[in-house]
Amino acid sequence: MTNNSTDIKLLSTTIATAIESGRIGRPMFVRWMERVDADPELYVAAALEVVSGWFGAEPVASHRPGGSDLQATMFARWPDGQSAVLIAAPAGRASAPDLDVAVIGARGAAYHHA
Amino acid sequence: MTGSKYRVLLISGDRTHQEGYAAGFHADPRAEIVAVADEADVPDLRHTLNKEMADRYGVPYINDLDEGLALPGVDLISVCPEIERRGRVAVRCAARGLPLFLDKPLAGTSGDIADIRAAVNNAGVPAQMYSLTSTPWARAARDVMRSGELGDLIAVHAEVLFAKGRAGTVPPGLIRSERETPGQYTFTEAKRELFDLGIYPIVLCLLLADSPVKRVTAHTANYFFAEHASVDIEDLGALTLEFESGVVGSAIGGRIGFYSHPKAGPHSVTVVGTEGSRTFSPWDPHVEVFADEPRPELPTPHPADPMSMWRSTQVESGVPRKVGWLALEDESRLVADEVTAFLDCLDTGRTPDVGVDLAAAATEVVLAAYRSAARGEPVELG
Repeated sequence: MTNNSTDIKLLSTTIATAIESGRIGRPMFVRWMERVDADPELYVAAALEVVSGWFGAEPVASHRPGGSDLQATMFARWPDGQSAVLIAAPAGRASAPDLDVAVIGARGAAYHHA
Repeated sequence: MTGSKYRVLLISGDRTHQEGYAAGFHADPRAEIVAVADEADVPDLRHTLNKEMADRYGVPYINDLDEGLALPGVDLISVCPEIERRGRVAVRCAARGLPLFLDKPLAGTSGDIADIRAAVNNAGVPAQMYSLTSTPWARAARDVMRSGELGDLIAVHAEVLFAKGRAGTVPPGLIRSERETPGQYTFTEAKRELFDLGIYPIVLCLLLADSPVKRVTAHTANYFFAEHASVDIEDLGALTLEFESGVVGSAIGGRIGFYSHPKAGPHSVTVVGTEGSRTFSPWDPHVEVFADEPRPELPTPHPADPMSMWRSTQVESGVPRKVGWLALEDESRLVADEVTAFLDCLDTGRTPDVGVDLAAAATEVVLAAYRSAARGEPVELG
């Protein structure tokens, strides 16, 4: 999936490389904030797949607080204790689609914003 | 005001957040610190630290709270005792009938929160809990929301993560179990970060949503620091909020390590409306500087403050400033802006953004978040 600003597959691979290098330590928490111009649920589902790849497992629990279907918010936990907040919000007229990701590791962090 | 300046009584001194608040009052030409006071039966170290602040500002230290509160000519009180005694102290301060500048969070138990709220409301005094609502980025978020540019609010996300301390020391494989009732809050080694830092994004969410919270779903963890793990408290907390209005919120608070961000840490608020969304942060926009110069090195931790919680110990141990990113926003006024906003309210009679009712609601959300994290399920409020 492409966000119009970021090729998600390339992003996934690049951050995975940073993780595998050990520079940031074990990835513990991800905040994924994506501004989109289509169904936000699709983007959060795609984000969950990417983050699960970084954490190396499927989540053991997730919570969607609901609200307007113009946005999607998900909170998820993984078996080794990691967690993530994933949000897709309408870009609307105010902003172009973009992606802001923070991957916080045990001893460092990787950020992407485009 | 009894004279030409607001005469400020400080309750508790060094190695509390009072260090920042006192500096803010001292720097504002409308205010004058007149004394530091505290309860008589606090530990000797607390008396010593209180006296150090009093000496620094050249004012008396009164080691008896009743005597301090009886001091004539005081115009406002900055209240900053440790969480465990905050309820009884704040209630006594409220009874003095003066405006109150309150440390965050409001208190550590629902009983103390209710007592403080009732005491302040009964006294009818202006009160403001410290938060980040007066920062330029938080003000910009409110302005955009109020402008209608984004349509009706449907979601809000806020995060305040502090890049402090030496991360990567947590025991490998540790998966922490939360307790429904936090118990002790005050440790030398560390602080509960959902409580201490999570309160900031929670306040921002509540202020912007302007609706009671219906449900909280939270997770707390030991991800980074041995210091937090050693006293079984979290270094990061994350939660979702469901407001009665239908607005959805999410908040993240924690301490992630000095080297984990080019500045003080990820701080931002995102306002999501029916017509679009925008994010506001002190670091956006910024200038990035690269040079042949040594990177800032975290010094040996201060034995009395290994997590760099206090201004005085940060200075003593030589925690350096990070200069790779230059924020366009003035990042040095984080605390001073809140003090200025409080004095502005007193000058104009305007109600503070984070009065005791919002402060109580936000702190109750934190306590509900601990219950949710302990149970591993959403918790209803109200």
